[in-house]
Amino acid sequence: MRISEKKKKKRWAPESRPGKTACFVLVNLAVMFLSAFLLKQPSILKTELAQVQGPVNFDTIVVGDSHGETAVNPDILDGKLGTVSYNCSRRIMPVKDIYYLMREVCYHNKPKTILYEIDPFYWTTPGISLGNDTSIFFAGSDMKNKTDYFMNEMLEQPFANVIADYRFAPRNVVQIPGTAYVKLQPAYRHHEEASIPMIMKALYMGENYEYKGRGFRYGITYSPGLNRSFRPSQFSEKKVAKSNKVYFHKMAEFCRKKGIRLVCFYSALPPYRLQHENSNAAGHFFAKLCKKENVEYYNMNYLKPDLLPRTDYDYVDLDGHMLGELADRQTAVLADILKSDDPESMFVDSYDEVLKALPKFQGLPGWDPEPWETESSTENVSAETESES
Amino acid sequence: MNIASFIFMLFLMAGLLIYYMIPSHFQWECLLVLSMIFLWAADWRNLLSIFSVALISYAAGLYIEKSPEKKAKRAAVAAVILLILILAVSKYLPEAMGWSLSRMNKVLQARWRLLKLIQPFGLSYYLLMAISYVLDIYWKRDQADPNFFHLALFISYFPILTQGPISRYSQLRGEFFKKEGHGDMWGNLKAGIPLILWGFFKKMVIADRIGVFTRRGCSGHQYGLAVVITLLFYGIDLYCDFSGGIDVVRGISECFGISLIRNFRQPYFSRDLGEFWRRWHISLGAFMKDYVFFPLALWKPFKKLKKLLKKRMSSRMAGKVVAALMNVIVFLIVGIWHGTGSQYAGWGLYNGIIIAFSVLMEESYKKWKTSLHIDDQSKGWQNFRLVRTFLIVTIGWVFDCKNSASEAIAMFFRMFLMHKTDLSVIFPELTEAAFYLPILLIACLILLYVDIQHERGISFRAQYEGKPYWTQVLIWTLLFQACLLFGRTVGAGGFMYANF
Repeated sequence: MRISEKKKKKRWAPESRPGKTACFVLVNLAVMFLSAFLLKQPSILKTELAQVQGPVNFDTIVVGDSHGETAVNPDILDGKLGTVSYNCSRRIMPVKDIYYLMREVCYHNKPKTILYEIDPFYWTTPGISLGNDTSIFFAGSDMKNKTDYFMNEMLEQPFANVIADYRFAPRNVVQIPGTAYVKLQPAYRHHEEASIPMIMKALYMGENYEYKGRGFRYGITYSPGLNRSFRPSQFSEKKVAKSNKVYFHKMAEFCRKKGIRLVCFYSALPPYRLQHENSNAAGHFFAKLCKKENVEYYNMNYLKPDLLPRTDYDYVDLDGHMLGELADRQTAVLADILKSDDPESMFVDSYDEVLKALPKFQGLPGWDPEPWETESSTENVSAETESES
Repeated sequence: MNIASFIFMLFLMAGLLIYYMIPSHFQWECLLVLSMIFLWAADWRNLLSIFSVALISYAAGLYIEKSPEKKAKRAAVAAVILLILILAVSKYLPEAMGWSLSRMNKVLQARWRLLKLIQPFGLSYYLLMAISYVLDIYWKRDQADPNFFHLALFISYFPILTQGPISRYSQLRGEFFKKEGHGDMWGNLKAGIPLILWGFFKKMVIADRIGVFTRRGCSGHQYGLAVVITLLFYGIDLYCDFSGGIDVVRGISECFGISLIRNFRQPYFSRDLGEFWRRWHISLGAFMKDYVFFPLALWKPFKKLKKLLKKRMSSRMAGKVVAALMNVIVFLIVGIWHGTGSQYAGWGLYNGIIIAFSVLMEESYKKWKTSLHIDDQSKGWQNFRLVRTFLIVTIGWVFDCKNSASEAIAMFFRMFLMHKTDLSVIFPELTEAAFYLPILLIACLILLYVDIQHERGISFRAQYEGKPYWTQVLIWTLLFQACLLFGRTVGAGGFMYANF
């Protein structure tokens, strides 16, 4: 009798229905908290937001995705233009999020110029929600911006993405020790910039990049290993999500109202990508879009060859993340464009000229494109405007 | 509003809170208001469409009931034609115009886009429900409802609008307007939430994950084993996506104390193709049987055809030829119901022709089995039939994978070029495959276990309700957390059948 009574006591369970439900919810919240702690990558954006929310007024802001993060060096920009700039570009940032980030940054700063590095990939890939960082909502301080972000972004997301900002993927699992370590560091908890190199190390970016401050990720080594999963892809205007155009319009409107000079640019891609993809179609689409929105647009792929000579070895990977040396040179050219009275004179007229000037692809060590078929081009710019070689 | 979105979850929670706070005799009105909000959130123009359909069905129902046979028949035919016209104009015309106007001028294209924009949400489902209502009254299977708002709720009930099941008014009337109310909240939630979780498990853990591989396989030109894997994966993807979605819908409805019919009955345990389609999308199959197949059988031209055939062959064979022909027509209609693309028609013909062939060959099969001493009831023979059906169905998915019938046929033939197999297209990264394939395998085994239990007649609820409280917590925590851990995939979120 006593043994069975003891057993019964051990198997305690809530008796009322609300109690049972509450226990279930609590258990799940605990598991979610633990999963988020271990699997959610530490956020660089959160730390960067804390920097731009500080007392320094940044008058030039760079926004965009990983290409922007590795392509614009604020030091070079400031040296050439006499500005105080911050590179807020972050990897895997949907267009929508860039708009809200821009608003959050402008809430604390009075920028004169915003440079938007456009990566067509994020305009054409549906459901970019894998890495989207809800820090804009949680670490932002502009209540109106937070409310709009919640209403327009988070509500539309699948519920799993909103309530659990993590996922069980090979990369996240491998990163668990580093993630946990960084999250326990006081520098990370206090959003100090010193935590960013730690985060980069935890996310295995430390081998190829060095954090140079003010959001700039400086590429240090060419890494053939990163090209294993790289495939040339073709841009198609049809694939561009309508919401991206809507949010781009909002960006342009926002800058117009605030009297901010919005400058869009398309970073120079590795020659291999230009030779194997229809980057001209992407460039043409963004030129049209920017013209429609009355926004300055510069396609760095069309720069005269002597202004930005480069090979595929000037990049960390074929995707187009620049090595720091090339990023510095591109930033210098970008600064020249920004202060030039005749920036058009720095560009060639046609894609044929771009391709003619590029070094022929000789292959890259550790990477063999032969067995892969490229996707068929679904859309090219009409022959009247430009031609594909 | 996607039923997997965060906003829908908030909407559902708020709706349930209000639903159980108000007196039970106001609950159906609450459901109507919730359905209107749901439709309005998608696009306010949906309300116009749904009220038009409800009004047509309502007026036709009352008129048919009060009118003599001839007038009733005319009214029923007119109402059905009108409803089909709405479907054709809203669903098929924009698709067809998009196809033919693709090379025309921009103004026309812009108008086509406008037409596409006003394509009402859930139209394919609620129009069939409206047709069933009108015809049931005409055939005196059901009575017309004098309350317009009752019918408006039947047509617009929001869980059904997302992807079915296509229900009959006779089924739902009793559920919506229960005199004794809709039971207690906790009991309904206990029945509904596990079903929602199970549905999301199928959708998020299996369908969305396997969908990453399927999309790669369906795009471009795959050969040999890559096609085989793509088709196998596609079958699992579609089953988990659609049946998972239906489980979520049924679970949501259960939370409101309203039981919807099952739309799936373990289709992959079918012994022949006909049985498969009686177990897959049951509500559409039942609709086609009752409102297309049987009326066709009684249609004069088919009766005449049967008479004509009887002169040339036995009465039994003539009946079979007509039945075979009707099967082809019904499956063609089912195919077209999904869309205007040639792949849908191809899919319908593929299934219709195989079923028609099996109807015609029934006697010969029996003779062959006798001469080969095959025991119809033996396990081996039953398993052979199971595998055969699985293969026929799996090959048929080729039409779903591609954007046209010709592309699908080309993909089918590429399946035999084994020497050209390139699996790196489906599995470009070894680590990704090595990580996710075992997880998918475990999830599929759980699904198989549950389906086997269902096949044995053990209900989903009975499987977990008898377990101790903490075991139940463990089961549902694992399922819920699996959805959160594996539910984030590129391009995932939408349900395939929400597009039809």
